[in-house]
Amino acid sequence: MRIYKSLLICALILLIFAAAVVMPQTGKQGSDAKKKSLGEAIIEKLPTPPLRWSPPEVGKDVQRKTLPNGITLYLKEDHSLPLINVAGRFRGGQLYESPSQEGLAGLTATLMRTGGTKEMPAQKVDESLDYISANIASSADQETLSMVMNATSKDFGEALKIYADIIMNPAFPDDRLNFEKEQIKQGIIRRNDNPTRVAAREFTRLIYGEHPYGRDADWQKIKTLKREDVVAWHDKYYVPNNAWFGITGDFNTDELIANLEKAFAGWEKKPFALPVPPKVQTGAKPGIYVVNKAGNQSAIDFGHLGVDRNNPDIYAIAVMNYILGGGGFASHYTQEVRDKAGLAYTVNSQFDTSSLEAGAFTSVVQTKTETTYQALALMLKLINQMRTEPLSEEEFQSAKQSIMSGYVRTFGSLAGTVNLLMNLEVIGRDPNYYKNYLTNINKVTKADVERVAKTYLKPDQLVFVVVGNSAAFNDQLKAIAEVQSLELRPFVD
Amino acid sequence: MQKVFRLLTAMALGLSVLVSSGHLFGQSAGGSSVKLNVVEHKFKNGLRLLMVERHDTPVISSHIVFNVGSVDERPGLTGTSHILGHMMFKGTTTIQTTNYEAEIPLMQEMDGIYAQIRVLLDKRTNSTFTEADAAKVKELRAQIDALQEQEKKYTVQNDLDVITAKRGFNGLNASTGNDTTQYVETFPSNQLEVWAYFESERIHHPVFREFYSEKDVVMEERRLSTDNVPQGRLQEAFEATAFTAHPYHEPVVGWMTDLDTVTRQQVADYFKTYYAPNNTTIVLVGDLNPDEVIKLIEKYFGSIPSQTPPEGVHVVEPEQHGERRVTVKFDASPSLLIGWHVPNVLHPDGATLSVISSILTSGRTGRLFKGLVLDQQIASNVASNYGTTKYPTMFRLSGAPRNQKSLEDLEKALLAEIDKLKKEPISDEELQKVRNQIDANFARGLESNAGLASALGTSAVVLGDWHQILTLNERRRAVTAADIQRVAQKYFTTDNLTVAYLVRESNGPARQNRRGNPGQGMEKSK
Repeated sequence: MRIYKSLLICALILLIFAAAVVMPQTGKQGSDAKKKSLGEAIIEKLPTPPLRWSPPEVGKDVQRKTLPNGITLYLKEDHSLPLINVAGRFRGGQLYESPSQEGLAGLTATLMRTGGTKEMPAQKVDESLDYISANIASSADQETLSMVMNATSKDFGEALKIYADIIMNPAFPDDRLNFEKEQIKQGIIRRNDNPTRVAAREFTRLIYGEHPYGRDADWQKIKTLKREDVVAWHDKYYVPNNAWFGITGDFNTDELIANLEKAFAGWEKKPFALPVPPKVQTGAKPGIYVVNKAGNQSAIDFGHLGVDRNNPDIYAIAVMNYILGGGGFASHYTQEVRDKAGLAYTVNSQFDTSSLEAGAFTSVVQTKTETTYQALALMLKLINQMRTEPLSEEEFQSAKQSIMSGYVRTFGSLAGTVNLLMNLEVIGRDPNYYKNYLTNINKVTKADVERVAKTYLKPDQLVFVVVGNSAAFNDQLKAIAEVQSLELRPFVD
Repeated sequence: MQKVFRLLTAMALGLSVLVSSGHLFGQSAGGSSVKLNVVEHKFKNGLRLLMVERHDTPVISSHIVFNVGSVDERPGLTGTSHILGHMMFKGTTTIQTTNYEAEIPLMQEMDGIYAQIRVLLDKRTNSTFTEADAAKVKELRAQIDALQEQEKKYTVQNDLDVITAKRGFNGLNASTGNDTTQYVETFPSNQLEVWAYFESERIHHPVFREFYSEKDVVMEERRLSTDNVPQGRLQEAFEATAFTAHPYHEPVVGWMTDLDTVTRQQVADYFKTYYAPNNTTIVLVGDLNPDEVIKLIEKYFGSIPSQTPPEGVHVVEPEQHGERRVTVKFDASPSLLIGWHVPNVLHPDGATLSVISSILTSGRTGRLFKGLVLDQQIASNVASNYGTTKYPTMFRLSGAPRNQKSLEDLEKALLAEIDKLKKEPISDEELQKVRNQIDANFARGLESNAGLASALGTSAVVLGDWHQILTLNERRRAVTAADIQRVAQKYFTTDNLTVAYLVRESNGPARQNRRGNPGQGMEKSK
């Protein structure tokens, strides 16, 4: 891939730093950002030639084509390895399941891969694919359904035939349907084994209530799903005018298109309209929900509802969250909770700015039972500082510069790049999102970051899930918010 | 077997990277002439450099591999390799400091106070202090905290992370395993000299500041990855049972009391012994020019003196005489881990063992998935593992029974599949399938810069030479049906077997699965 262009990122993000100032600890947020170490002074003098690069674009770096039956292709040849990657995407997913269809998108996706086709029994599909070492994986996300394949270029013809057959003609036999439902049940039975997973799951369920974003496999619903439900879901979503294939690797484009037309021959357009997704409603009452589980460490997730991806503040929010808890070791959370206080190995925050409906602001930490209150209180203090105290110019610039100069790594793999670009079209996002990303981050001002911290961090709306030895910390936590115990739903067959 | 120092970005180093053979750059199947454009350079001080040029995107992936891991630790110092990995992110005499000279007396004072704490730690009975000692420890720890706070006057918090993030590096990370310690990052290619500066500085002049709070972080990591996770508990018990004399017995993260008592000086001594250029391999893959890289590395790393090579591990695990079993109680669904002592991959039987692992668990037609999960429906999941190790290791099988089925059912079914390997020769078709997978998986392993860097570094350090990637492929392709039968018969014996069970010990109100989990035959309630 040749995606070098003339944009000089280094010039764009050139910043001037104040000279090293040794500051006493003020307790103000980000106070260290004003200091400069001896090492940084040396590093600043090292030569860094300009990086000639700009984000890849459709039509220049990646080819886009539409086939007569409505399939959209994103293509990029790359002959460095004898492999071909196919990323198939369809609009549809868990967000579009009605309450009675809960689990249907995932079950259908799995069964397409594991249940065989009308012409080829399941076992034959597995044997044929394993023999030529072609990997096909089928899955469902909130907004998209995926069918991805990695095969050798030598055996690509045969792999593609099976891949197309799985998409067009899955058999959905009853024995495999029952088997896959049973596999889901096994997962449900085991889902409370690991405290960090319990915390993450229960937090999401609480803030989203009945919305699809908050669902997690409910056996009472999944067990009622029938073959006819699966067939109807497949008929509706897996149609060529709802299909995108991003293909990268060792192929000749003309030959590949001829092959695709042959493999998908007879796959006809159908009227398709995406249902209107449900809006997120306010979920559980703010407060602390405690799951009692033995152990010497508490697993904690807390946060509240946030914004959808069409919110104009997503870039400022990204910078704000980088500073608070998203920027890895440079974040306030890591510096204060982990590195200064030694209270946690993992501590971070995510502010989802890419979901169609309202995403979540989520903070995560695990700390030993005895310091549960201490860690939470410290994180709340950092959230409040973020909302109320001015940000230092140095730290603000440093966060922006980090997001921008690391951006090139987003496009480190060819298959990943094609996938990212194609996905914009699949989910109906601005086609220039990646092209304009750097400019949009660069436009964010310090005042923007301070404003979005005040607007979008809502301490009075926080929902906490704490999984651990409750007797040891319940009383202390009452100083933070109302504490109630959360019973995990029993598994009932 | 691998600890990630910093964030939980799990890396599977040494587990799956060396499973292959094959054809590259469009050459036909079955071809053995693999061409990897690796440039190797050895510096005067013994430092080894491996490079692969790839100019698709202007980024470079770096793996710096030190030939030291938990296997090199001694009793009382378990977890030291891993703690050292954490400390290497705490800066140098220039990085993270505005005045290193002023920090020295403060750190010395902290170490003096810690020496007093250690005396009290040793007085504990069943890890409990007397009331007076507990109060004294609390007071002493507060003194250390206060001194660490004073030191902040001269330090810049998380300086290395902030400096590098601003220049486009991903979150710097590292991981340690039984055999190696690896430092990894990916960065824009115009930052190569910045990379060379800070990576050489931290080998040349590291400073282990924030030592005591970082030990607390490592203890949290142990709680997170081992104490409170069923698979962590199970594996720790398994290794400690399977190995009696060899240091693979010890957990990479270390025992909790060792983490508590290890001193800054002990970690510094460990560093001095093992982080020598002649014990180090640097791997760079990406948008680079080999001649320029060699010049840069000579400039920054060339003055680091070579040292007497450290003492290796001499102890050999004695032959096992009779099956070993261990049970771990935990509030989780049952699972098991079983294994047999086997040689490492360099042994003539090594290629066959790795082929057997593929036969058992590669794809949906792998024998264990097809047999136990799909057909007999005894297990809800199964896995096998034969890793790339420096010393003789274990061939491991793991899995979880479906509800209604017991661990005993699952163990029996696993052993029945192993018996089949001993009794019936594998068909030509199944063997060809595995060979096809070897070819394809080899190419897949080269797709990402970081994956290739990891594979080269692991092979170079653990197996002594990066070419082993290629050699092992050829050896795997040459494995016959007779080899498989012979090797299965030789190693997979009852006397050589270790079995670890994880059984449910419910407590408190979290016993939510009781009604619907008839697998509770395995549960032992209080």
